[in-house]
Amino acid sequence: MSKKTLEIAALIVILVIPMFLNFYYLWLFCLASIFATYTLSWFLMEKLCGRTSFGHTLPFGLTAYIAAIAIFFKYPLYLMPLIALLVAMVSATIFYATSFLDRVKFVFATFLYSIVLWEFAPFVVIKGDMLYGGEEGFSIPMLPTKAVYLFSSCLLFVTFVFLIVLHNSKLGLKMMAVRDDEEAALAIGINVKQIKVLNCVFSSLFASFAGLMYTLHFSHVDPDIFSVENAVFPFIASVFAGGYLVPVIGSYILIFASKYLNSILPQFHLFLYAIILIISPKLRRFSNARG
Amino acid sequence: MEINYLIINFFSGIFLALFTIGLISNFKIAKFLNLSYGSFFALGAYVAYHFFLSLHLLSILILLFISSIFGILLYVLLKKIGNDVLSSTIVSLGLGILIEEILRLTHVTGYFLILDVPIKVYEIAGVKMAQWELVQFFMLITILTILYALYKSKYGIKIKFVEEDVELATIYGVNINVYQFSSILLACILSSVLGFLSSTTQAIFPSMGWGVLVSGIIVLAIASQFRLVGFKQYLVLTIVSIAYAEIIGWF
Repeated sequence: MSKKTLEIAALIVILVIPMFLNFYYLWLFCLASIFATYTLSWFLMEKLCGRTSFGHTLPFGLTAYIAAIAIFFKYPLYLMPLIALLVAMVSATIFYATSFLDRVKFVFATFLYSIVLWEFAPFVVIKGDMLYGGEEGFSIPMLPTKAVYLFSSCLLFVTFVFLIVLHNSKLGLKMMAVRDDEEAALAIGINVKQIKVLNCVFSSLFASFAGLMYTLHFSHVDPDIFSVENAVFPFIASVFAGGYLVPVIGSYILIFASKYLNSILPQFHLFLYAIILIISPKLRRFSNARG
Repeated sequence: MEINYLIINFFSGIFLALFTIGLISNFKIAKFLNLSYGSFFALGAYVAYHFFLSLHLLSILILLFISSIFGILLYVLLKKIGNDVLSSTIVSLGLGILIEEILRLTHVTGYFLILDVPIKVYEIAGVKMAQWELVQFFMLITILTILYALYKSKYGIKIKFVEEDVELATIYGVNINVYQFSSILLACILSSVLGFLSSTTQAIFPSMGWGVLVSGIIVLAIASQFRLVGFKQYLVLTIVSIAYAEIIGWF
């Protein structure tokens, strides 16, 4: 059995286990699977294109926000994937335009996007018979958790398999060539712009659909979806990244640890995030050296 | 009415310039984007919330002590862990979140207001100005004068050298650690002093520094396009900040 097959088998086991657990754990696994998809979408850009983004809350959060507003206005659920698709295209365009900056400036610029959205989101207010939105955000009718979990686990599985297939494909090799040296890739005839566009589109697409799942799972979205916490989540979850399963497991561990620490003190998990961020350069160097 | 808006925006620009001076000095001398800068701003405001009404200006000593401790911690972390622009920036982001969470956990999520400090308003040439606006104006003039004197002194050429090429400066025997340490420490103190002084004019909450940090980064990005070093960069930064505040304020 190859390593890839084993990784896929391990993921299937992780996805099937919650079906036999109680509601609370099913709910938690559902959240973890959504964030794992979000992390993988980020990892696709980082691993295959060498771009570290702190702005993936753009496709993730914007889709969640717009979907929640659309559902609030009684738009049918089957239109939501269309919203995710549109937001993904807009995000991909922004990421592509930003990719003309060097790698360090790309990080700064994407971080700026997430903070600007976080600051701007509380101003999104809809006036009806009462005020909706603002810092409270938008609520939608609850959907059955099992149904949402089915969709979110399918999305995670598709994203995971897509990444493995992409990694071993010609397109994946071209992406990695662009990641290692754009000029050298150009010199051997690779269409660098096209490769970057495709990378941005794939990455944004999965992040957008994860955002849609987030709205359906929580039945509520508020400005904190754009918070720094969410912006740095994929970075922290994949700090030990080697293969594609490690970021998934990292996301699960972070979600479970967050819930546990939150039960001790509200927001206590952000301490953990801060500590991991501070030591992340050391952890990454260690992980790269091992690799 | 129009003049009044222009003046309000002008003072917002002055505040932004004051705030961004520390950010640009960290970026040029210590070679990283200090993402903990906004948290130092919040830290200053919280110190004011706890001590200003009881200790008045003596509370600034407490502020200097606390912000220096965190400033030194940031420097040590950068030296031990951050070895390039990106990793240093990420370390500073981690410290920023840590400070914010310490504030959140020790105060529980919520907003605070300092209400017992009367806001003095002066009328100069028919235009009303708050005391805090005048204070920040004189602070900016003082800091720019100190920076001008510093760049004209024997240390000026060394600082310019560090700003232009840190490796070359090291090879030529400039002790970059002294300049980087001073830059980080003074920037952290400046940010917390600004948070302290402006705390009476706004709601205090742990993430209050992010908004002004975003504006600071935008101004820094625009000012950096001029690729200046030395005193000129701070002058350009001031002009960009005022122009930015006027344009944003207009909309």
